[in-house]
Formats: sequence, C-alpha cells, structure tokens
Amino acid sequence: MQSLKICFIFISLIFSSASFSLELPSTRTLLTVSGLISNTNQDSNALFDRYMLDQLPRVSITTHTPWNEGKHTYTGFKAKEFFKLLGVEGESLSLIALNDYMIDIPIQDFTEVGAIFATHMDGVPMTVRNKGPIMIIYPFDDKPELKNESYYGKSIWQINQIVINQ
Amino acid sequence: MKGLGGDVKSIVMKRLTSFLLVVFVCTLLASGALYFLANSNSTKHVRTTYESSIWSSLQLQVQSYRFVDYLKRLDRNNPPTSGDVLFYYDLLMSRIDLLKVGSVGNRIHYYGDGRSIRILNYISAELELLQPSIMQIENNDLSSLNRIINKLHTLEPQINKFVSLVNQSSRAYSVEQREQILEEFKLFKYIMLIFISNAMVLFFVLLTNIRTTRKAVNKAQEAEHQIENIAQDKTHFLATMSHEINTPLDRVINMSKLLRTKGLNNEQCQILDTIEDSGTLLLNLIKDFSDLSDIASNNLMLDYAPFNLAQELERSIDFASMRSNPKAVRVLSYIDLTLPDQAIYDNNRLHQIIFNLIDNSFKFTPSGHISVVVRLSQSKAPQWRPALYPEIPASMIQIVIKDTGIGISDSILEMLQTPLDSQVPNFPENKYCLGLYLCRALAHLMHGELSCHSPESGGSEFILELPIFHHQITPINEGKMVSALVNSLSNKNMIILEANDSVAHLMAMQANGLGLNTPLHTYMLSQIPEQKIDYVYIGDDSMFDDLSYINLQKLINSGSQILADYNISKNRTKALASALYKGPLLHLNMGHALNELAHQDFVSSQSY
Repeated sequence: MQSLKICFIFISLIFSSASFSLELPSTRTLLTVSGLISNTNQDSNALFDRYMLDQLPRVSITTHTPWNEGKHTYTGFKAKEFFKLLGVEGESLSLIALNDYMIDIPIQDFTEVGAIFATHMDGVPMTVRNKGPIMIIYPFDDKPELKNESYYGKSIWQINQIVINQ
Repeated sequence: MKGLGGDVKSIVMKRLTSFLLVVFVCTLLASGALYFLANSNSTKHVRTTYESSIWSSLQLQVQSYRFVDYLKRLDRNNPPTSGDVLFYYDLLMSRIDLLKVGSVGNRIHYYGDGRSIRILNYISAELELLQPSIMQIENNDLSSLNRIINKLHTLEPQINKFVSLVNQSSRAYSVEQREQILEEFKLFKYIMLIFISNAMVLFFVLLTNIRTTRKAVNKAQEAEHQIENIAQDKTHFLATMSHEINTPLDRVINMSKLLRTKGLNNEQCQILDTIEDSGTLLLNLIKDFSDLSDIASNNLMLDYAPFNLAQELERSIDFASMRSNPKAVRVLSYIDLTLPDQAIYDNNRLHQIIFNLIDNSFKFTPSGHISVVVRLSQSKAPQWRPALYPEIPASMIQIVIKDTGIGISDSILEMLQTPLDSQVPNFPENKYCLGLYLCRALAHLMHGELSCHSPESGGSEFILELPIFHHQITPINEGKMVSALVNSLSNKNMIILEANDSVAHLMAMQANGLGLNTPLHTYMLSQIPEQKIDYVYIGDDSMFDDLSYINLQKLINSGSQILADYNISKNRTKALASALYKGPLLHLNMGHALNELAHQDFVSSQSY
C-alpha cells in the first residue's frame, strides 16, 4: 500500500512538470491548439504530433455510434489533463475538421457529460480514412439521453484544430 | 308515463355522453399519435440521412478539387512535405468511405435506380488504383504527377454526375416529404374538426346533464328536508303524547293501587291487577315508541358511566322477573365472576334491553324456566369509544337469554336478521316485535349486536353481544362486595335436588362459580354422599319419596342447612327446610342467601 502511494506521487510529479514544458513536435503535426491558452510551443499555438498525444493520460469509452456498425472501444486522451497542460482559460471550444467544418462545444461536455478526444478505435490509431486523427466520442451507451441529433452533430471527426474561446 | 319518459331520456343522455367521451378520447389519441409519428426519431433520422448524403457528396467534390489543386502546385522546386500527399489522398478516400457505409450508404444505393452507387464504385476503384503512384510522389518521385492529375480530371465529370444524382434524389425526397406533410396536415385537420365539434357537443350535453343533476339534487335535498321535518314532527308528537298520557296513566295506576287497600274481594283485586298490568304495559309501549323515534332521528343519547356490573345485571333480571308467575316460570341467572367488577356502559339502556328480552320470553313461555347467562365474549371489541373515555380498554360481554317457551316465529327471526338502517325507521308490523326491535336498535347503537335462534331442544335463545369499557380488570369475585362471599362459601359442599336437568346444571354452575362443591344433583335423595354436606338446595320436591325424607333428616341431623324454593309443592318438605327462597334464582342472590343461612340469621320465607 505504501509503495503504491509513492508511485502515485511520482507519476503526479511527472505530469505536473510536463504541463510547464511543452516541446515542439518531432513528427508530422496532427493537432494545433490556439486561443485562450497559456502554454504554447510555437508562437501563440500549441502543436501536437501523435507521439505527444499518446503520452497524455488515457481514457476509453465502449459504445455504439451511428457511423460504425457494432460496439467499439474508443481510446483517447483525458480532456481535463489536456486542458490543464495547455492552461486553458476559456469556457468553449471551436473544433475544426480537415475539411474546415467547424463546431462549438462547451468545455462542460468534456468535464461533466464525459466526452473524450478519441485517437484509437479498438486499439488501432484512427487514420484520416477512418475519421482520424481525432474524433469526439460521447458515452452514448452509458447515457442514452445523449442519443439525439444534438450530440450526434457534436461528435465531429477528422479534427486537426482546436480554438479555445471565452 | 312521465316518469318512464324521464328514465328513457336519462338513459339516452347517459349513452350519448359515453359515446361522445369515447369519440373525444379517440380523436385525442389519434391526433397525439399523428404528432408523435411526425416528430418521431425515425422520421428525423431519415431526414438526417438525406441531408448527410448531400453534404458528403458535396464534400467529395470539394476534396477532389482541393486534391487536384494541391497536386498542381507541386514541382521540383516545390516538393511535397512528409505525408502531405498521402494525407490529401486519404481525406478524399475518407469521403468515399463515408458515402459507402452506414445509413448514408444504404440510401445511396437507391439513388437514380442504382446509378449513383455504380458511379461511386467506379470513382472509388479508379482512385484506389492511384495509390501506388501517390506513394511514389510521397517519396519525391514526381514522374507520375501529371498522369494522376489527368486521371483526376477525367474523374471530375463522374463526380459531378454523382453529386447531381444525389441532389436530384434529395429534391425528390423534399417533394415527397412536402406531400406527406400536406397529407398528414389534411388528416390532422379532419381529426381536429371532429375533435372540436365533438368537444362542443360534449360540452352542451354535459351542461344539460349538470342542469338535470342539479335539479335532481335540489329535489332530493328538498325531499330529505321534508323527511327530516316529518321525523322531527313525529318525534315531537311522540314526546308530547308520551308526556300527556304519562300523567293520567300514572294516576290510573296509583289510584288502582290505592283502591287495593280498601278491602276489596279477590275478584275485584284480579280486576285491579289487570288494570295495573295494562296501564304499565301501555306506559312502556309509549316509552318504546318514543325511544324508537329518537333512534330513527339520531336523537337518542347514550349515557356511559361506571357501574357495578354484576349487581346491576342482577337488579335488571330481578326487576324483569317481578311480573312473572314464579310458580309457572322460574328465572335463573349465572354470571361469570371473572368479568370486570366495575365497568363503563349505559346501564339504563342495558337494563331496557334485558327487561324487554325477559319480558318477551315471559310472553311466549307458559311454563318452564328462563335462564340468563352472562360471560366474556370471544368477539373482537369495536374501535369505537364513548366520547368521555376515548382511550379506555374494551371487552365484549355476551348475555344469553334462553327460555323453554314456544320458540321464535319466522316473522321475528326475519325482522331480527334484516340489516338495520338507522336512517329509515322500519317499525315492525307485529306488536310483539316492537320490544325486540327496540332491543336490536339499542344494541346496534351501543356498537353491539343482538341475534336469536330457536334451539333444537325447544324455546328460544337471544344472544346479546355488547362492548363494555373498564380501566382496570378487577374480577367480580375479587371485588369489594363478592370476595367476602366467595371466601365464606369456598370449598363447602352442596347437594342440589332438582327434577329439571337444565335448571340443576345451571344451579351447579352458580354454586361452582361461588367456590362451592356440588357432589350431587338429583331429583330425589336416594343416598347420602360420604363427605360432609353443608347445604342442600331443594328446587323441586315433586319426585321425593320416603327415603328422600329419611336421608334429608339425616343430613339435617349432621348439621346441613336446607334451603328450599318458595314454590315447592309439599308441606313435608317446607317443614324440614331451614329457609325458603323466594323470587328469581339469581347467582349472587343465592350466594348471599346461603351465606346468611350459615350464620343463622336467615328469616324463614324471606325473599331474595
């Protein structure tokens, strides 16, 4: 029990120190975050490649969706830690897809409703052909009240830009 | 005829209202169902699918233009950056994938009679063939760049055709949807028309019904008021009549009593007896009528107070027995001495019931005996409590009055078994039933019950179940008045000489209740028990022989006290008796008589 506690404190320290040193991506940039953030790595933007995204604390949702047949496990990074890393100060996100489609989602959808930024489907990284690199997934099976056009519309895929707004 | 017409009208109105209500509910449900269908998730999903297919087909067109535009900007001076070509290619292919799968893919299959999916498959296959060339460019080998651009140009008309087909189908869908909405609206309009017209008719019918009901209620209230007035008038009349008749009747009875002291002969005395009896009967009848009237109009008030139960019960039985001929009919009572000594109940009303029941038994019992047995009932006490004693514990007692008379007539049985409705005074037709009817009504008022039946052995049996209330349960045999008596008689022996088995059995019960042992009860004294006999009670000496008298004398010599009934037939018996017992053979009364006999202060022929 004592060793578990020490391990937990150590991991917490690693993450807390990481939040203050955002390095530039070493491979192809998958995600650009701008707007009301305090931690950046290029001008006023925070750039992420797949390696950087994969280092963030993970979270999974297993659910049905209208876009893929059957039940799948979607894994991605935790929004809370991600926003903490960026020093997010806003209340709303503008999510922009590769085809320039844009939608606004309140931060509460991640902190209270339980939405995640999915990067893997059934353990395999999501490619552009498979709605990657990032897709918003809501826990539709756990919360049936989310199964409506409003939340289906907010489950945007092929995200490559996030703008943090007031 | 008018009444019949009114009934038919009422039935028609009721049926019309029911029919209109059914139509009202049906139209309401139909409009609700229509609204639900128009806004159901499946309808919304179909709409979303069409919108998504248009959006995705346009996205395919846009991404193909963007891809071509990107490829055109590439040359040796401007080589592709790592992964960019593949990225644009994947983006384009993802649009094709989205158009092939899920509900959008299913819809695309039906566009243009299948032409759209064939075009899409062709575009997809052609683009898949470009993948090796794309990988070459990704590796900075631009030799196949122009071929790819040309190929994409040749695919442009196909993509445009595909988008056009999807748009045409969606327009057709819009028209179809509009027509469907118009149809639904038309149907909805008809339903609403039926709904509104039905609601209006229903409103008028209900209004008419309300008016009719109001009239009926007013009429009923008026009738009720009239009934109340009649009941009040009747009560007032009976009260006045009772008061007015009471005084002259009292005078008649008192005058006849006074006349008795004026040295009249036997025949004249018998006439006076008849005058007194008839006067008393008339007085009681008037009181009964008055009480019944009060019960019917809910004006009879009960008076609950603490009483000595055993003493009051014996007093009531004794009083009721006064008018009887003791030679012909004997009255006996047995009281379970474990009943509460002090109890709260309406003594006057219980006295009235006991008096009426015993009086009734006398009427139908020319000879034999009447027994009154009082004991604890197994019935559950009611929740009801007297207003002055809201929290007091309750018990049920059972008073059984049994006679050896001619039994109960069917009309009386029927009257006593008919449910009581205190709202409708239903006086019995048979004049003999009046007292019983009053008893039953009083028992009901006191939350008790009176029932009766004719046992196979003959006669009649009235069973009164009544709640009594008591703070503490001190039994009668431990109470102030009876405990000394029981202590005095306890474990003494008594012989009962009685020809009637039932009477002998009841007397044995009385004696045992007081702690006496009864080693023998028989009709003649053929032998003497071995143990010392303290008392001999002779109820009937008709069967006595010489041996009986010899044995009786032996018992007297050994110190036994002889108590004989006042009405025994033989003078020889009377001569041997220590004392004669006169009056009804009441439980405690007999105990006191025996006790006093033992103390040698008993006066012969004294009545108890």
